[in-house]
Amino acid sequence: MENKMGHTRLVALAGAGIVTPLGSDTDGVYDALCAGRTALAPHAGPYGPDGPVVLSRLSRPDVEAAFAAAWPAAADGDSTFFEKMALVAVGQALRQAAATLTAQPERTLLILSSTKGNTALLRAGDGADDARLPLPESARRIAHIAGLDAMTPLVVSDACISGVAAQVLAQRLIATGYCDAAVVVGADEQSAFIINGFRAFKALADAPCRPFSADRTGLNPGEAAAAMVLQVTTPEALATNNGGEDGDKSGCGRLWLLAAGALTNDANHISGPSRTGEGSFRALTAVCPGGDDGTLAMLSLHGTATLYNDDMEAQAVHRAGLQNIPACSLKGTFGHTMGAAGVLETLLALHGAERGCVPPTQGFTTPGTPLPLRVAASVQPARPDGDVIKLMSGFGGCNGAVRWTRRPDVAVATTPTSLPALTAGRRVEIDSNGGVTIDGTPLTLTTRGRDMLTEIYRSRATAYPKFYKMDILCRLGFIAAELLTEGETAPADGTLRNDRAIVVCSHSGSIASDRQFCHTIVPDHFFPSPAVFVYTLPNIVTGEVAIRHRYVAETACYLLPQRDDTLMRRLAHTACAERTVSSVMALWLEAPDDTHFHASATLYHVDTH
Amino acid sequence: MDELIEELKASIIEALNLEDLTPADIDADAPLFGEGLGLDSIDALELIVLMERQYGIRLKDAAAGRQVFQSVRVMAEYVMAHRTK
Repeated sequence: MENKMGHTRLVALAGAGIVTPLGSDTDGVYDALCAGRTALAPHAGPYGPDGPVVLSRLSRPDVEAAFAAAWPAAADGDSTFFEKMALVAVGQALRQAAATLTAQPERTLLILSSTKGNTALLRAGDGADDARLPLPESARRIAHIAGLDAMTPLVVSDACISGVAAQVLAQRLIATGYCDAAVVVGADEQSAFIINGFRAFKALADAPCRPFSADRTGLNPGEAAAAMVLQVTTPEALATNNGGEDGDKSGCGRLWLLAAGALTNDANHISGPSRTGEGSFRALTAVCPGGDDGTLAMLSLHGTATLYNDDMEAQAVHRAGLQNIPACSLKGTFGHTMGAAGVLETLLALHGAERGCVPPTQGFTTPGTPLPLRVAASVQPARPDGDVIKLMSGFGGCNGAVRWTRRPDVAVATTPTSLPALTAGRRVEIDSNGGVTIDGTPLTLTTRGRDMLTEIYRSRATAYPKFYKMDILCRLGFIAAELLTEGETAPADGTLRNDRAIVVCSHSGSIASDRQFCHTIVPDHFFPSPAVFVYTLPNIVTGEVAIRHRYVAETACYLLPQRDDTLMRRLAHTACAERTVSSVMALWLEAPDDTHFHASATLYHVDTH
Repeated sequence: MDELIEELKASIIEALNLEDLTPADIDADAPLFGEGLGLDSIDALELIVLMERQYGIRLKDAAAGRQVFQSVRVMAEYVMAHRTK
């Protein structure tokens, strides 16, 4: 192998900030977590007619006060609660990073991780807050207030794995020179919208949840924001650093390095996890190729306390040979904080590892997964100087894992240094009014709008009745993918394909389904629809395409302030970091309603790894 | 009873977006899940919503649904016995 030392851009944690109902000081929150405190409690509303919900809820006055203190110049503006909680975390992280942050603001990227952003503003039949609903609008405001708007802010919206997917993206973009630093912030606000969606899925527990336990009954929603400042560093800089008073003789430095990340898809079901833990197993194996090789401190698992998730995760951990590593879930302390979860739970795991501790799994009673995990209700010892693995999985069949280390040699070996060259192949354009072209040649079609997609499905696609269940965004992505892959030989039955990634970019994401779901939770007609709710996650389209074509490699969904083909190509490029990937389906999908949509799809081929 | 079965078939097709099917394609005695209609766990949850919206019947969870959604006929019998509207 060539000498990577000279040009490896390592990615280090330079600062962190968290906002939780247990406090906003990482040391204090960590102590509360270890002392067995939980933020979960019943709250009456405003969550709909079905009685109190057990969740973790941020104090509105506390967040408002912290926001006014952190960003006094923006205090009179019209930031939403969701944006304020994110900004409080960003402010903390930037302050903590201030002493060591050398990256210029012009080279610092803001990445927002969220599933539903400002959805609490959405009211059935009321278009007043339309402009605030798309997540890129929140990212733009957060970046502007934080002084980080020189680079186009990005939104990662990959359901529950968003916070891990955002770290994976940040690592690749820093390592390959797109930026020198990234502020990754995860946040979500709970609302009647989300609560009743989970209720329709029968996924909510009516008491504080019990991850991995025999008597677990479901999850609790949670609110939090968490931010990390990631910055480029070099092996040489670390060697100098480690030689100083902060270093130690084991070769471990003070700095946490984001060594590796992987995103995968189950290609199984849009809401149910794979029964074989396929995607999580693949993600774990990608970041722990050596299995349990004596270098790991802990696994910070998803552990939602739903029956299927926890069973699936246990299976994936066993398949990856990591069942003897101490593991934890923080859902019994903070609930499922959605877009914040991947960031918050990573930061607290790193905090624990620095103290030689695996945080407790609050709520754990008796082991309840068919394959046992090393989970405990109390603090467990962690291998000193060991690496930390964070695993997540979510709707859309997505899975993500990251590996953090304090050993520069590990990071040097696993950090990507460059991405392979890409060649654009087949190209498909679909417009609700203008029709369809494949490589510039128009298709002959007799209809337009939504009917046009059905016409293409009926005339050119293999029978796939699930098409009729899809919302407009998924129908659009499904048809674009069908046309991109026309003429390709379908793999033999049951064969999974790890050679093709899917990257979806959009501006308004799932807004059409968001509105539709809102109409199912109005007071005089309160019948929340699970089949609509599932499509209120914009990444579901990646799952639909992955399932249809058996793609188990990376799938990702990014929301952008506007269409930007250069940026989209760059994002598609990051999906080639995994060496198995030989092509990427890059889909720009914009479908704000059933009658106005546009898709611009390109199949990129990787020249050589 | 036959009328209710036909009504349920039409409601199922509409609620679950089974656009290529007609009521005649659904056998009232055939299993709704597993083979046949290709329904999944989200469809089962959507049928729970249908039971409440249309007949005022609240099913606690997916497990309760599995008992009721064995076939359209079993569903109809359950509706006859428990409907509140």
